[in-house]
Amino acid sequence: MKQSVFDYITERWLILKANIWFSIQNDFAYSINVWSNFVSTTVFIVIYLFFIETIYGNVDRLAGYSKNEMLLFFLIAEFVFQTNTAILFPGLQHLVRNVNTGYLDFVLSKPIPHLFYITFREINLLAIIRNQFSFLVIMPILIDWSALSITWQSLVSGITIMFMGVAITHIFQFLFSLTAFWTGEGESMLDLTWTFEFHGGRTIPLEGFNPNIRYALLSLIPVLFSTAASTSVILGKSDGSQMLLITTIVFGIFLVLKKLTWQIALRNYTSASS
Amino acid sequence: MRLYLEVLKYNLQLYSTYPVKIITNIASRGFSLFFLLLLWRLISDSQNSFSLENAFNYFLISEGITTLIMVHRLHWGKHLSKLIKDGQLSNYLIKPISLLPYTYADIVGVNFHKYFFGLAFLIVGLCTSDLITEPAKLLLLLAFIAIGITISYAINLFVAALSFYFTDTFVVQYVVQEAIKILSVALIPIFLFSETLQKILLALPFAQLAYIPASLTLGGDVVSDYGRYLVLGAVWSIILNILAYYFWQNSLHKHEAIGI
Repeated sequence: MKQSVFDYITERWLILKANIWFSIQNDFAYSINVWSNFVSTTVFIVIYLFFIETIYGNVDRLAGYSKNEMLLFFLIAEFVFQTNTAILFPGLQHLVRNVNTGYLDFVLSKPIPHLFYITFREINLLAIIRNQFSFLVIMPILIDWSALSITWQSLVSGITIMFMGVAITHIFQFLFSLTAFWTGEGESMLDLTWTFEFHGGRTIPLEGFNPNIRYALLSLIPVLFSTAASTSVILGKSDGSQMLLITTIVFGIFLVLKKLTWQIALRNYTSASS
Repeated sequence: MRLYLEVLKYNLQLYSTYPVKIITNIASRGFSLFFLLLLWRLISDSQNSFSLENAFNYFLISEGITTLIMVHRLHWGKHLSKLIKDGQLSNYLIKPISLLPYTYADIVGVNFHKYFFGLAFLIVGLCTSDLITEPAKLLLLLAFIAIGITISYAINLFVAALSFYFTDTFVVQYVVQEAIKILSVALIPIFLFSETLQKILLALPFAQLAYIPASLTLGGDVVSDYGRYLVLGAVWSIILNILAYYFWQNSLHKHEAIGI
């Protein structure tokens, strides 16, 4: 019998609920982590602000961005990073390890939507709050919002691009992690995706790239959407509707790619127990 | 010593079974270099006194040194953390081996190819500077690298010992890594900092990990008194290693082994 839409949603909601609940219990069981992460994040903010202060002590603008605009870029970059590492990235780490150890057999033998389960396997909602608390308190105070030219339209477009960008980054990382099915190794591929994300996506503003590199980083290696493109749109430096359209198209393509490559990878999976 | 060399060799062979790791590592280094140069080009566009050629040279040497001394990604600290978190530390504790050198050899073997890249970066950087023709400075460079290794050892050990107290050390490791990148002056050139900050940075142990040895190639405008920094580095190295070792030993006593 074909599954109804209601069943489809219920099944996924149950998985989501179970994963969130497990992560919350896990977080409460080790509450000292909350404090260590809080202190670490605060130290990180201070050091990064020191970095920005140093650069802007010597230059007025970097790639057309004032210090105030760069603080917003930094705020978005960190929000994106923490969201990805708390919700989407742990699933990929599990996937790679499970392929290596053969544990994936247990996942595949369960009557659940496997791809959905793997994607949202660990949802650390508390981690997002605990890791971003100091950020979301300190950064908005430091930014002079009145000096930024933000409209409601640009803000909505920018935030939409940001969330779609997080999903695109995740799918990009997912595609790289699938190499584990063929080579038995996926962790170094995940490391490589972080190189793009850290050094490219969350360090240099969109306007800092020349057009050819920008197109490459908005299509083949789509790491600019979540931070660079969304900040540019929020600040009104890029056309919001045009960027939204590009983001939606890339997101759609990567979504299809995710499903296709997952099926191909599964066909190449050498089960450990059967 | 022979045992540790065997461990190193074994891990190197184990690692070589996945050539994809080596390829991705080369790609990763290439792209990070590319993006860093892009950032520095943006700074040089806005700052006339900044020479991209010097920056490139400086980057090669500092990147080479941080890789060689194992502070780049804190591999050893992360390896020990993982052993503690997964409970695998017990497997090492029950064996008649010295835990720290054994795991150190583990990680040197696994990352051996990275040291080749580090060495390659360093050699290319040296060849494009005048340093190669000055034996005294080369000796100084080697001394700074030796000090860097010991300071890096202490930092890795400290990061690892935190895993006895916290189950999730990902954020702490990430912050330490980023802090080292900025405080060791590996990310942005030192002259961009104010004079007071330059003095503070040079007095901290982090500068010993990248800036001070790499600055040997820059003609030494800021760091002229290398002897003083050599002594300072040695003092930092002794203090940090004593602190890290005691912290590790105290933390290890709190470890509840499983599976024994």
